[in-house]
Amino acid sequence: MTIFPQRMKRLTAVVLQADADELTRRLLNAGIMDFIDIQRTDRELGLQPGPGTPAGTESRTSGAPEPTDIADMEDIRRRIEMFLQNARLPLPQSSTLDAGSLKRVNLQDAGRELDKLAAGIQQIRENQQSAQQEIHRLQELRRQISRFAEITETAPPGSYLDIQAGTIGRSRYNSLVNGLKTFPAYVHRGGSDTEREDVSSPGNSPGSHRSADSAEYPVLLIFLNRDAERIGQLLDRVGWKTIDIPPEFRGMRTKALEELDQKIKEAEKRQKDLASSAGKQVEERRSWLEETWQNLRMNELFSTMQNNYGKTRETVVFSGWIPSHRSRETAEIIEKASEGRCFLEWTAPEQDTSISKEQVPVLLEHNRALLPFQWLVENYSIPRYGSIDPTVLVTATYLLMFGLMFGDAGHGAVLMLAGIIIHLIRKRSARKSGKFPTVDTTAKLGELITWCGGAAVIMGILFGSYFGNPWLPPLWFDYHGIVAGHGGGSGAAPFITSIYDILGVTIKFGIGIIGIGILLNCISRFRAGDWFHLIFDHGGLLAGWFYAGGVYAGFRFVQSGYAVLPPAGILLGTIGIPLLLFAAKAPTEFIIKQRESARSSGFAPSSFRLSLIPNFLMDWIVELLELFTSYLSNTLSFMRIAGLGIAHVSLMIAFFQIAGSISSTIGSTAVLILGNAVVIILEGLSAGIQALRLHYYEFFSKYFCGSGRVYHPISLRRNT
Amino acid sequence: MRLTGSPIDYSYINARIHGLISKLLTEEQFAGIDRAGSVTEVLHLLREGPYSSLAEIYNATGDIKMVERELFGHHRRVFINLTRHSPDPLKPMIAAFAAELDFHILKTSLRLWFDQSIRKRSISDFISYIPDDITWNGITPQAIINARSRDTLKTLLTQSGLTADIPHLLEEIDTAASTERLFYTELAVDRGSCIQLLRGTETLGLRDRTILTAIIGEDIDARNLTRVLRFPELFSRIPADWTGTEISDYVQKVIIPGGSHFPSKKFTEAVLKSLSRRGSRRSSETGETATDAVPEIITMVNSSGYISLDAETVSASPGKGPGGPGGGGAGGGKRRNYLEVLLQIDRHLQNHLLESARRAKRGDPFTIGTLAAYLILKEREIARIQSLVNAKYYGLTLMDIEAGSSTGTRERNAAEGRGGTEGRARQ
Repeated sequence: MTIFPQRMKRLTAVVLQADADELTRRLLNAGIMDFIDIQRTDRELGLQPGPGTPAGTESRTSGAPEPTDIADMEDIRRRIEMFLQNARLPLPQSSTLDAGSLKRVNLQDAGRELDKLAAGIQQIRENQQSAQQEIHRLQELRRQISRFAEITETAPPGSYLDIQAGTIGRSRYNSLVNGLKTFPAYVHRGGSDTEREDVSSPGNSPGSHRSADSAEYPVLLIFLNRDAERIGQLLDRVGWKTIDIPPEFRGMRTKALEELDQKIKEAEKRQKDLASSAGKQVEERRSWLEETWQNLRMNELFSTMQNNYGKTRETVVFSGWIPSHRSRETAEIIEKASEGRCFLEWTAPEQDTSISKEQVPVLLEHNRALLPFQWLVENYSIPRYGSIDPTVLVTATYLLMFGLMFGDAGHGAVLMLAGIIIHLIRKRSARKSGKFPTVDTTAKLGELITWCGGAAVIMGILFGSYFGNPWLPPLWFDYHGIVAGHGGGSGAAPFITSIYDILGVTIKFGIGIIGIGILLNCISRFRAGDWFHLIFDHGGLLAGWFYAGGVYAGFRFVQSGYAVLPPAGILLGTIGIPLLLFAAKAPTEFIIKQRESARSSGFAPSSFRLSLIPNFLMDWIVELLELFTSYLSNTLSFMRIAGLGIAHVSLMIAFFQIAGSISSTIGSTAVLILGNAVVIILEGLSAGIQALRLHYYEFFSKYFCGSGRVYHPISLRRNT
Repeated sequence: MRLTGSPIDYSYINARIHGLISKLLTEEQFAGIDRAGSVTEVLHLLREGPYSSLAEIYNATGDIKMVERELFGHHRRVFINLTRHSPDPLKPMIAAFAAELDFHILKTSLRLWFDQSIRKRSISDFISYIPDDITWNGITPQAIINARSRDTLKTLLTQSGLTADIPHLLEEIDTAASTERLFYTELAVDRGSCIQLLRGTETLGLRDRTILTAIIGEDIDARNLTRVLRFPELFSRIPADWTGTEISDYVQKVIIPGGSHFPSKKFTEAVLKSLSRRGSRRSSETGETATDAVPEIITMVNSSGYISLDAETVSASPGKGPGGPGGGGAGGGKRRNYLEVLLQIDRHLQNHLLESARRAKRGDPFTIGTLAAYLILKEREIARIQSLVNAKYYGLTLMDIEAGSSTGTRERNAAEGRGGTEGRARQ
C-alpha cells in the first residue's frame, strides 16, 4: 500500500521491422505499455528522415492495417456482440486470450457470414410478424364478439360486427374458410358430424337447413362490418345463401369466445417458439461467433498497437510509459522478441525536467478491495503523477466518518447485505455482458455500501446500538442514551455525557483530518521540491503552524469556560508569527515570477517599485482573511458528522415513540419496520454524501493535485 | 416565464427538462445508428436509455409496427410525465403540444378509413396499432375507421368537435373521396394541428408568447419547406388561367400558417416569381402551366438570412438542376438535390433549437423556450428513429434515411397515400 502513484518510466525502443509483429504479439499479451503519439516522440528523439521517408518516421509500419480496417473490425465485432446479446448469450472474454494465436481475419467473409445469419433471423422475424398480425386479428374479433350478450342480428352500440347465417355447398366450404383467412372473421359450420355425413337425406335435422340438393351446411359467419363489401364478394363467389340465424347458433357466443381464446393461445405459442428459434440460430453459430469475436478483438488491438509505431526504412520506433517495477519484464520481452536486435532508452520523469508531470500517466495500484475508494478519488480527479494518491487514507477516513454518522450495528448489517446483493447481481450481469466487473459502477457502489455497512456495524457495537435498541452495552459511549437524554457515562469514555461532548469528538476528528491534509501537502511539496508552496501554500508549513496555534488557543479558551485566551506571548508565537510571516508571500512570489520570466525571455528582471507595496499589503490582508475563514469553516464543517449521527438517533427515537403509541402489535411492528427502512435509506444516503463532501471540500482541498491522466496500456485484459 | 406558481416547481421542471435535453440522442449516436445494417441492429444500439423496450418488443414480435406503436406510446408518456411535474401555468401549453399526437392519430384513422372505403383495400393488419384510449367527445378512432359511409364519417367528425378545430375538414373529405387523394385532407389536419398549437400559447404572457410562437414558427417553417422540397409537383401544375388571388389561395391551402421566417405570403411571391420569370410554358394537352417553383423557394430561403445553404446545393437549384423545370415534378437528380437542401434546413433547425435551449439555460432559468425546444426536439428524435427503423426494414439508402427523417416522414407518407403505420407494411 502506498500513498503515491506507481513510479513510471518512459521507454523509447527501436527494433527491426522484421521483428515488429512478434514483438507486438508479446507486448499485447503483457498489456504493459501506454503508447505515446509517435509524432511527438519524433520531435523529442530528433529523428532524421530516412531514405524514402519524407519527414522523420512514418506513423505506421508498412504491414499495419489502415485505421478504416480497425473501424471495420470494430463494426463486425459489435455486430457479433449484438447477435450474442439478443440471444441472451454471454460475451466472450478477451482476458484469457493469447495473442500468439492471432490469425488474420477476412472481414468480407466474416461480414457475409453475419449477413447470412441476419437474413435467417429476418426470415423468422417476418414469420413472427405474420403471427403477430394473426393475434391482432383474433384479439379484435374477440373484443367485438365479447360486446354481444348473445349471438343476434342486432349489434350492440360500439360494435362493428356483422353476423350472418347462411347455407353453403359442401364442396365450397373450404373455399370460404380459406378466403376468410386474411379477415378478422369467425366461421362455424352447423350440424353434427353424423349429419354432415348424411347431408343428402332431406329433413333429417331441423337445424341443418339443407337446401333442395341436401349438400349444404348451415354456417355462422361473424366479421367486421368494414369488410362487408369484400366478404360479400367472397360469399357471392362461394354461393352463400343468407338465412335467419337458427336457434342452434344463438348460443354460440361462449363457444366462439372459447375457440378464439384457444386460437390466440396457439398463435402466441407459435410466436414464442419463433422468437426462441431466432436465439437458437445464433446459438448454433455460437462457437464461430465467439472465435471470430476473439480474433477480431486481438486483431483490433494488434493493429491499434502497430499504428503507434513509427518506421524508418528498416526499423520501427515506438515509445510509451511503463510502470517502473515492470521495466525489466518489458525489456526482456522486447529483447526476446527481437533476439537482442533492439535499442532501448529508459527515461524516468523524475530525472528529466523537460517531461511535465501532466504528461506522465498515473497508475493507482491498490488491493482490489480498495477499488470503491479509488473510484471515489478518481471521481474527484486523477492525482497528478508524483503527488499524493489518497486512496488508502480515504478508505480509513471515509469509513470512520460514515460509521460515526450511521453507527448502528443492525442498520449496518442490512446495508452490508444490500451491498453484497447489489455487487453479486452486477457481477453476474457484467460477466454475462462480457464486461469486467471492476469497471461496473453499480458493482463498485455495491462494494462501497458493503464497506460502509461494515463500518456502521463496528461503530454500532462501539455505541451499543442495534436497530436503535441498546441490546448490548456500548464499548465506547452510549450515543443513543446521550441523545435521548438518559444515557452517557458508560463504555470506555464515561466522560462523554452530552451532545456537546459528541460535537467535541467530531471537531477533534475534523482537526485530525485537516492536520493530516496539511501534513500530506507538505510531504508532497517537499518531494516535488516546491519550496515556495511548501512554506506559503494554504496547506503549507506556515498555514499548519497558524492552524495548530489556532486550535491550541481555541481549546484553551473552551477549557477556561469561554473566559480566558492564552497569554499574549503564546498567542504571538503560535498565531502572530506565522501570520506575520505570511506578509512575505506576495513579495516572494513576485520575485520568483520575475526571475522565471527573465529566464524564459532572456531579459533582465524588472526592478521592484514602491507602488507595489500597497498591493502586497492588500494581498496579505486578503490572504489572512481567507486563511482564517477557510480553516474555521473547514473545522466546524465536521460538526455535521455529529449532526447526522444525532439525526439518526432522533429519527429512531421518534419511530419508537410512534410505535409505542399504537396499541396493535402488528401496527407498531409495521411502524418499526418502516421506520428502520426509512432511517437506513435516508440516513445511509445522507451519511454517504456528507462523508464524500467532507473529503472533497475539507480534506482534498488541502493537498490534492489533480490534472493527472490515467495509465491506459493497450491490453487484452482491459474492457472493450 | 412569469412566475405564477412556486419557484421550486419551476426550478424542478427546468432542471428536469435540461436533464432530458442532455439525454437526447446526439448526431454521433444517430450516425452510429445510420451505419447499422438491420432493424435489429438499430434497436440494439438503442437498448440503453429510454428506447430500451423497442428491442425487446421487436425480438418478441418481429413486427416493426409494434415498435412504432411503442415509440408513439413513449412520446405520449413524455407528455404525461412533463404534465405531472409541471406547474399549472405550463400545463395548457404541454397539452397543446400533446394534442398534436391526437391529430396524428386522427390522420391515421382517416387514412385507414380512406383505404378501406374509397380504395377498397383491406386494413385488417393495421387497425390494431391504433391506440384505443384516445377519444374526441366520445368518438374513438375505431369509430372513424369503421364508419360505414362518407356521411357517417362526416357526422362522426362533426360530433367529435374536430370540424371546429380543423377548418374545411368536411369539404376536404368530399374532395378526397372524389379525387381519391387524401393529401389535402391531411394538410387540413396538419393546419388544424398547428392552429391549435398556436392557440395554446394564447393563455401565456406576452413575453412567453413571443418566445413560443417564434420557436413553433421555426418548426412550422421546417414543415412547410419539407413539404415543398419533397413534393415539387405541388406547384408544378397550376392551371394557366388562375389569377394571382387564386394562386395565393392555393398556396395558403398548402402552406401551414404561423411560420416565423417564411409565412405563406413569401411562398406566394416565390411561386408568382417562378411563373413570371420562366414565362409560363403552356401545356397544349392539359391547359396547365408547368413550372418549378422550388428554385425560387430555395433562393427565398437562402436570401432570408435564416440559413446559409452551401453554395454547391444552391448553384444546382435555380434552373440548373438535371431534371429541368416542369413536367410532373423534379427529376431524380434534382429531387435529390432538394433533399440535400432539406437536410441542411433540418440540421439548422435542430442546432438552432438546441442552441435556444442552451441559451435559455445560461440566461433566464424559467424561460418557456427551453420546454418548447425540448418538446420539438423530442418529437424530431422520435420521428427520426421511426424513419431509421423503417429505412432499415425496407433497405433504403442513407439519403433516403436522412431525407425521411423528422418532420418529413409523415408528409411523405401522406403524399404517397400511405399511412404512418399502414404505409410501411411490406406489400
